[in-house]
Amino acid sequence: MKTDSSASDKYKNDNRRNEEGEDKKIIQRVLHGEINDFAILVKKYQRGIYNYAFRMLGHEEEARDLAQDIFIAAYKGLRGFRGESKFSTWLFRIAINQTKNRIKYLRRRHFFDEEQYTTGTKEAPDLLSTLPVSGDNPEEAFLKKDFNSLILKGLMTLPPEVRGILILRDIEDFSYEELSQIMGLNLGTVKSRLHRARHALRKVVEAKIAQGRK
Amino acid sequence: MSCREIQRKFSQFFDDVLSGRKNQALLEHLSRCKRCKQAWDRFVQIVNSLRCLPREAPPYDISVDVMEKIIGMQYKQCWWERLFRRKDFVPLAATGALAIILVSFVYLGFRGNLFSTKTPRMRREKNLVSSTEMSVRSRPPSVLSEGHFATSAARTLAGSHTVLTLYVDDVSQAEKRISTLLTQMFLRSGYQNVVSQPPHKVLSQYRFKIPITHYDLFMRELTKIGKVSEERLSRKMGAYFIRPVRPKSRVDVEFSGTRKLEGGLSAARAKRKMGKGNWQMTPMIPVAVVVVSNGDRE
Repeated sequence: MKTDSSASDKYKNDNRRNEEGEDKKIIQRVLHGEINDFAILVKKYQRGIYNYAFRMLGHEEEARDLAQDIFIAAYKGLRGFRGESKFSTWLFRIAINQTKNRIKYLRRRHFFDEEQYTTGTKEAPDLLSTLPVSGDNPEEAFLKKDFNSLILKGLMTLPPEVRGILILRDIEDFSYEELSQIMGLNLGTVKSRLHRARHALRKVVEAKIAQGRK
Repeated sequence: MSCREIQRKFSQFFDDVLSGRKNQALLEHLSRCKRCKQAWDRFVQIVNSLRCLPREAPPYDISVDVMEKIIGMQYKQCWWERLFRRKDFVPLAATGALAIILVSFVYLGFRGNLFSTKTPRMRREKNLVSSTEMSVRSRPPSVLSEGHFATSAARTLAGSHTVLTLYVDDVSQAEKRISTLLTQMFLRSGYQNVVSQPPHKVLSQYRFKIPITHYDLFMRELTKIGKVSEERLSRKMGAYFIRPVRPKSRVDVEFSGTRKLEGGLSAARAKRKMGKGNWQMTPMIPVAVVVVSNGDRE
């Protein structure tokens, strides 16, 4: 039933610890004037940050802009990084704040009312096209893709703060402790919020399935 | 545990963060409750599908754009920000601080009051004398030979005042005329009788501040009383605000309308503090008039 095993966890933790040390070395170099080394950090985390931005905003260009802004904000605040937490958690904390501000900004400009942004009711070609097609059986693959598209639509209908925690936990694979650091919440609150978010997603998906049957 | 409680634990059970006892209870419950088992299967399916969603990659390497912006920002930074970000900022700042400390030590050591145990008053007196002596040493000998620094009172004053030694025949008449002149010019003076000190006698002494614009006029008037020797030693000048008013007397300015400019204020702030009116900032010269009878002259 369970997905994790202790051996893989240990391997993952060791790997992360090494990465953490490397990140801190790079940061020290950047702070000592070797600015170009910051590109190493950008390259390393751009996929995670862009993915978070893209899943939160649902728009490619906006996500790209937001990802750039996040890295620039991180660079500006690099002196404030005390090294108590991992660089990735610190970076995602910035990402959360920047995303919050960007969503507010876009809402004021009615961006989410326009067609390029897709909620559950509208088609989302750019999002749906990203789903992988796997499995030998085409029918099975089609059904799986259909279900995944349902999940994606369901995810996009959730409020941003609920969606954020799901993306961080289930797509970016952050641990509970990391989530509590990123979101600035205690562990219990993270657990309950994650439970509520998954529950909300389940409800939305089940409602959509029920709608489809009718 | 009830079905509701069990379903609340799904999320933590899925992530394997439940305690062993609760884990066991949940597993047991799932093995016997069909409804919860179905709900669990649906939960696992949804969360697994969510986990299977691909991590989107940016359409191109955004690090190029980011670095371009960062380098652009560097150029826009002002000089102190660039200095702060320099690799050798810490040794540079440390050297600078050390140099400042050294210079201060040398300066204070030269002044001679760095490790002094004397009271501020004693130190002040010592400084006055020493600065006077320094001035005396630096003056051309031809001037010194006239003996204008003959009196000890003048020595004490010379560090902080422009000393005007007035040589007169009749001292009491001269004192009266000086008092009248000061009243006419609206100058408030601290009058002081000085005890005579052999071999020279200083009879009286007046100390006051006069606006730089009216110094020449005062000198002209003073030369009418007696012979004046001028020792312009004072480098200290207090700045005052003076409000020019209509001429009331032969002196154009009413000096009673003065207010002292407080130290450490910028000109703009000081002007605001002075309030409305046509205030002008005028430097004041501290002057000491020492009256000496002609008989005592060297």
